[in-house]
Amino acid sequence: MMGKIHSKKIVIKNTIKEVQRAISAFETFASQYTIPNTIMVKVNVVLDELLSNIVKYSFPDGQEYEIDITIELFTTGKLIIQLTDAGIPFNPFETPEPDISIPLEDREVGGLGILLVKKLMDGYSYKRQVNLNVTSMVKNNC
Amino acid sequence: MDIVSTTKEDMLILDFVGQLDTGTAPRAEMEVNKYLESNQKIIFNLAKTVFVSSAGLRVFLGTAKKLKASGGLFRICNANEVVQEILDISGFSQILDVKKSLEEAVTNFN
Repeated sequence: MMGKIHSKKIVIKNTIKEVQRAISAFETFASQYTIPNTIMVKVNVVLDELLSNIVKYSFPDGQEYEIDITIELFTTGKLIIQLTDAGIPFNPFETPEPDISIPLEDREVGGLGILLVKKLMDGYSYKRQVNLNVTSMVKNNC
Repeated sequence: MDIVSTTKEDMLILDFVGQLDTGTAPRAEMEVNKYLESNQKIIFNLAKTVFVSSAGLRVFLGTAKKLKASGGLFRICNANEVVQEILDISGFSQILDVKKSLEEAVTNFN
């Protein structure tokens, strides 16, 4: 049985400025519950990648929306963060992986953000739930 | 994010203070571009950089490409553990000139 010890919900608007507010809120949570600094920094990077993607691609109508962020820390040291938005169906993990072996002159940055998410986290998932995008990430040993 | 510039001989050292992410990278890139006009040897010192996301990597790549095109030189130094891991994952440690310390970065920078 996995017990949940701490949780926090943050709601942000779909702007890049609000992404920073989510990162700051997570930092507060991380220091409150003594999540190791290197893990906190990795989660910050991943929040920046995933939330900025949602802000840029999920709402092509340009209207104001809310993005829900749920942070859960379990007794096992597992951290689960779930991002929920009511934008158009958008699976960030379907982005093609970049070729990281090509020389400097020809390198592009596209797709690198999702590669960072996949490598820095211990788990990730996406599901379309009726009209919602639900994107999750998991980090162990927190 | 603040950028502090220091000149040492013919080298320009830019200290990135804070986090280089989607929110801060566009302004950082504009700042860096101003220095690119008159400097050919540029070092990004990441000693005070908390983290770098892909938006920050874009600034590194853009700077490296511009300097290479104009015959200039570019180095990065003092990446923390997580930033180094990000440089490794992205393959940037292979295509950029990454040094451990500022001392190493300013040595034989030709």
